[in-house]
Amino acid sequence: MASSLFTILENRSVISVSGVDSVSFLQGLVSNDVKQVSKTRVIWAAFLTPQGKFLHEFMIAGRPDRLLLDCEAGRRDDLLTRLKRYRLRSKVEINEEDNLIVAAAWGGSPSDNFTLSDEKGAAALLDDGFVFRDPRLTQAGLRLIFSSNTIEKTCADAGFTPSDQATYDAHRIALGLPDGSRDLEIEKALLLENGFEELGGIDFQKGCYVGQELTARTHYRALIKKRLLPVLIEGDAPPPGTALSVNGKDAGEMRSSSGVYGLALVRLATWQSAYDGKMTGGDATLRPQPTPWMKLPASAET
Amino acid sequence: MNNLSPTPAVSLTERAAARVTTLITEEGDDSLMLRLSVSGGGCSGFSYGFCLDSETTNDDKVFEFHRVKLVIDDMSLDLLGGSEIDYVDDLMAASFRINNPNASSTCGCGTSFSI
Repeated sequence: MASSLFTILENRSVISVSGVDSVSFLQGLVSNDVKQVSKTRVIWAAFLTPQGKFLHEFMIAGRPDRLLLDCEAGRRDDLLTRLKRYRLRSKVEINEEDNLIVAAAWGGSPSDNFTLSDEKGAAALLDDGFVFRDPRLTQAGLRLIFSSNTIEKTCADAGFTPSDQATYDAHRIALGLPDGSRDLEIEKALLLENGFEELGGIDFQKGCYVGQELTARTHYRALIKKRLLPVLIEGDAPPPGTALSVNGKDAGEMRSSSGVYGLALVRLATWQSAYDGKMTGGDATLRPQPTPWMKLPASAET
Repeated sequence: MNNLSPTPAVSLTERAAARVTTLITEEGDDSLMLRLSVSGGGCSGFSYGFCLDSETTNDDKVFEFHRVKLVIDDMSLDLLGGSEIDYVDDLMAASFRINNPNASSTCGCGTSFSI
């Protein structure tokens, strides 16, 4: 039986948005429907430039008194600055939550102390934190936002064994799940190239938010030419940003990796031929492994 | 946020004033003023809001054009400096339009802008 593991996600941190206008404030800014957030439901959303390019992605959990954003730790200040720019006269407070940390727990079938429904995004507010199913994909496992001194005990009590970031990354990457700017190029990446549609990170009915026009246009006109795909790496993993090629032609770009698993932004016109082991990056050969949740065009144009 | 007009000032065209006067008359309350505000959110990041208001607060600036009072709070005025508020009534649409020199782009429907 696969083991049940957990790891503290050092590359994630938490900010809170509180005040009477918090929901309407975020609703006008992010790609998903913030009204869906409740004590029992967490959503995944992105914050874009007005041109529809990636800036930040986060999970939004709803305490009764404030919303918690599980975001990229290294770029938390940038997110705070950008959110505050749009605050104007809205009655919202935006704060760092330095006492809260994020963990992931996955694999096996641990004694489940958390009474969560089976749906992705299902959440439970406990005495000292939040536990929820990853809102992107149930196979991703659980995520926890807890105060730093109780999170390890909470995970251990639930039957999870301590692990490390690299092991979590291998699990995440094999499922094709992007993680912040490691996988999503800032001011370049489009949500639909990176699975946000299938992974439930976009609501096309919610109304206007920053970057909505381009996101809707790429959706309704199917303008996507690249996708972030898991790749099996034979050889040394190419560093992020390495250009990939098939028979000397540009085939995409490397993103994050862990061991033999990597994520790469692959040109759809080339990925099928690349499947034959012709896609290279640096000295390595990369074999794209689309996952079952991905809806890729049946035959990519050439 | 760097290209704000150094001397915040706005204007309201005669057509826009006439439309506001009509709306105020319909409401039957002479104390009403046109309030213009900017809030965060919308396709391009900042959205315009219009309403009729009879009250002002300490951080409001009140302008008068063609006998119509226009109220804008300080924070919104920072983003609206130099704007011209017009009213367009043609076969396509009847609506207020804001020509805002601070806006580097606007969304398709014209209700939001970026700076």
